[in-house]
Amino acid sequence: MSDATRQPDAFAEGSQDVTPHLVGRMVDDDLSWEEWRQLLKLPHKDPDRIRKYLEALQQRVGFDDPILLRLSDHLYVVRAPEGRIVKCDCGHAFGDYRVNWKLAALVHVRDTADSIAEVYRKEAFAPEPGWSEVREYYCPGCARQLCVEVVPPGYPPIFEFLPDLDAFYGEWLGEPLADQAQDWFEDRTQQQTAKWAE
Amino acid sequence: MSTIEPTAPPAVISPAASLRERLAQRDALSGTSYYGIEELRLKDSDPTRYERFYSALSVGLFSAREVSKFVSASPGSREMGELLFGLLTPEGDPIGISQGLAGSLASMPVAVRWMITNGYEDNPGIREGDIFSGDDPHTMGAIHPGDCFTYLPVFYDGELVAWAAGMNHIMDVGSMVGGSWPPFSQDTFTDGFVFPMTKTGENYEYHAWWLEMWKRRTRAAVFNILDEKMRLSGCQMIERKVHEVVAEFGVDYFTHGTREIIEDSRRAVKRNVRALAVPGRARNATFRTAGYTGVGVLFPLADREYLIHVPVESRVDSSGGLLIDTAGASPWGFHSYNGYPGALSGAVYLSAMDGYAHNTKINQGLMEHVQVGSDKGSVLNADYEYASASNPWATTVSIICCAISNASRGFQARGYLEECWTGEASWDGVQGSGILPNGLGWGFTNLQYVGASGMGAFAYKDGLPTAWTCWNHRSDIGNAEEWEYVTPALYYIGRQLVPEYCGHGKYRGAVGNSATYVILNPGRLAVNRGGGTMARGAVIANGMSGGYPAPGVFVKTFHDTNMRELMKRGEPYPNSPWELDEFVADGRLEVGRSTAWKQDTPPIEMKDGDLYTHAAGAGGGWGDPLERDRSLVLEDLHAGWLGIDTAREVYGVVFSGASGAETVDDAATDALRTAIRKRRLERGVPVKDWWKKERSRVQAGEFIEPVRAMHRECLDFERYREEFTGFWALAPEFEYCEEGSS
Repeated sequence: MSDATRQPDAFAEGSQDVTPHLVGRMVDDDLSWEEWRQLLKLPHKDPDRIRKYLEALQQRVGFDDPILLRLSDHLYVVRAPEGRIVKCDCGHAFGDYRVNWKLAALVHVRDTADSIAEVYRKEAFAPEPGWSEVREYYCPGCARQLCVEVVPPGYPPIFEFLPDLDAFYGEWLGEPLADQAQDWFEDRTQQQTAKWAE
Repeated sequence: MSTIEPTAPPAVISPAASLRERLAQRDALSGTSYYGIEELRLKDSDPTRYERFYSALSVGLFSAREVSKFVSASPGSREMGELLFGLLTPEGDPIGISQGLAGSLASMPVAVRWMITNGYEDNPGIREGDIFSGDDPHTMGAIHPGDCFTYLPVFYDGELVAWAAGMNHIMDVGSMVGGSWPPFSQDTFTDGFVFPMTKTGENYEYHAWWLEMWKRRTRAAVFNILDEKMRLSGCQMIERKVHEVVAEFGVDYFTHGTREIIEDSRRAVKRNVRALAVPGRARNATFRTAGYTGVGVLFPLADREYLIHVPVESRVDSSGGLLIDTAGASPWGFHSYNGYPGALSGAVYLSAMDGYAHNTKINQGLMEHVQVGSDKGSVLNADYEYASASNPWATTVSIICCAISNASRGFQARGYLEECWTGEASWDGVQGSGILPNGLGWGFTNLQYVGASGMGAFAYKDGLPTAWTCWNHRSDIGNAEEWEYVTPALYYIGRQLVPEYCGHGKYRGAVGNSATYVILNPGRLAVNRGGGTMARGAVIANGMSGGYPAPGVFVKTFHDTNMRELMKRGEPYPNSPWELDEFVADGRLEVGRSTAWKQDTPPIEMKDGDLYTHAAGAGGGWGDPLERDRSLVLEDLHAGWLGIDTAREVYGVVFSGASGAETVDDAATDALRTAIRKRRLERGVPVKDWWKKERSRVQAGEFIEPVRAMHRECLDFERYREEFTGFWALAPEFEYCEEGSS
């Protein structure tokens, strides 16, 4: 939507009140540059943004499991009947959030000059096969490209974000999660690959 | 003179105590707070006065920077602002800095501490008007020897109350390979003019022998001496400002006020982490190549290919503590890309400045709160005192970018999307040495693409080209004419943004920039490059939300050309990397031979009529390219940043209409995007299946030798061993044998 046709938010008229409506438009990527600028220039961030944000996100995803935290554009940690898991906004479940979600994705590896050239378009700057491979991780549900990593062969997939949800909710937001436990902030990726090796 | 406020705490230690005693006191009292300060009494009792006090000091620092570079400076400082001034406590803690190369604030405490702990008070003595200089990464914290520092102790009524510090990046460091970031260096003895903290002058005047050192030990004596004088003049301006401030506020207010300023910032950074981050850990990594095969004729220990691994983990604990850790990085090697803790800290604090210190005063408080981790013996914490550290910035800039991206994970999680971006910034600098036709020996560094890189994409907009650097608040590529007189044999025939040269995404990174030169009347000239990540790999490894990481730097040279004839006939000549390719392909440019580099170039001899082109500053993307607004893809097409093929194959956008007047074919675009998604599901392999296949390869070590060597050497560090063997379900004691051994 162009700036000219966009309905102005109260925020755009000088208020510093980051309203739920504004947060919703932010989630929809529908703010003007001026509005983004005003958000950037806030002297202090609105501490309750997370609540407005989670509400806006929840309204927009295709599932009812409560979102606990956003991990990336399309991935969330949600509270599901089976525990805290990663879900794509299409609803596809990736499993326990303590396991790198990439293990439950589809991967396409570009490791030849031709396949790398499809995305790094000139040989002059294309990562070099043998030294680097381009791994694209897709959601098995909606085929969105969730992450691209360019790493040497053999490099373990990067576990990009493992939040300590109990510390965040319990100690920072003052709203402990009902299922808080000592072992939620653990990297269980290797337990998964150990099972694969059996 | 005013007196100290009754609310101020008593002095902890006598000002007459030695600096060594004061440093010990400072360390004993600092931990949970800076210098044991529990209450900000000066601030709380009279905040206006407190802020006026800081402002006066801050103005002094800014003025020192803006004025001194016009008193006397090389173009790197004057044109592009590659300098920084700081005011430090007697123990060496930065109280404030000017704008400029802000990461160098991490170097300053290292230098002062080194002087204190090595007995400089007794020998050579620290007196009013003494000048101390240094550039040794190992002992005094310089990121690389190209960064030179000057320190001036500031006395008031006979008491050392502060240090004024100035630094800048010089034009040639006297290294084996000409320039200021020599890409080829086996150890510190080929790094150039490396000197620990040295008393280089007294009574505010450099010793004559010191200036002779610049003349004899570097190839850019004129510029380097101008820079020495710039740093001293700035330090003297700071000294004068401190005298004014102390005269107004009193010594006690100065002493306690500066400590409160640091503690105030420490608290602010901690608050910001809690306000913006999420407890837990975020990870990224960067890989740096170093092609040293063939140097064995002179340096047999260095004769190999290197792939240098640096992981970056940002860990936020439940108290709001932040640790940025590179544990598991490659060991140091016989190459240019090692560093010491000053270099790593400089990078870490730049990322933390960007993420968590936007609304407070930049000083030691940031460094008190944010912790830096590394393995002793690793590439950024070398345990060999003679390891080369000529260009660790090549890797540390990527560390900054990794840490910025890590911080963005927290911002996005908490809904502060306005702060989210993929922190990418690649850089390059053409440099070299030679003898001009008039017999003048010279060395040079062109800092233009260190002055301004491109930005990675934001979560809501494309990255801006040639717009920023994470290491300098005052980004500028400098005037072409300015560089031409500094580098008299290199004439610009083009400065261009480079189409297709970016990380794609829903929002794409900045397209990178290029510079192309024709070499005229060089005499004898050898050119090389110092810079960040080369195009064999990406700038950082892990992209954001499905965007592609930025491609690295590339260099091309063309020799034995007909450029002189083209110029003489007034015919068009190429002014960008792709135009060069076109001109060569269609024969307009005749070329005897050419070279192309996705790794650092060794010194390349350039002759009259030769051409040199290089590109850097591409930004990484954010989000799945298939989600990019198709109208933005059309804009990119019309702006020349993308071709029709890229639009179709990467973004799934189809156009119709005549060239130059294309419009988006919505129906065809919808169909193509659907088809690409279908193709992803068809060609995507379950990671479990990929893992099983890859595991066999990993077990067999079926990699090119540099990759295999990287894995083998990183396994010496516990973090990498645990991660690598755990992920691939290998025995904990798994090893790769060295090439050629059984």
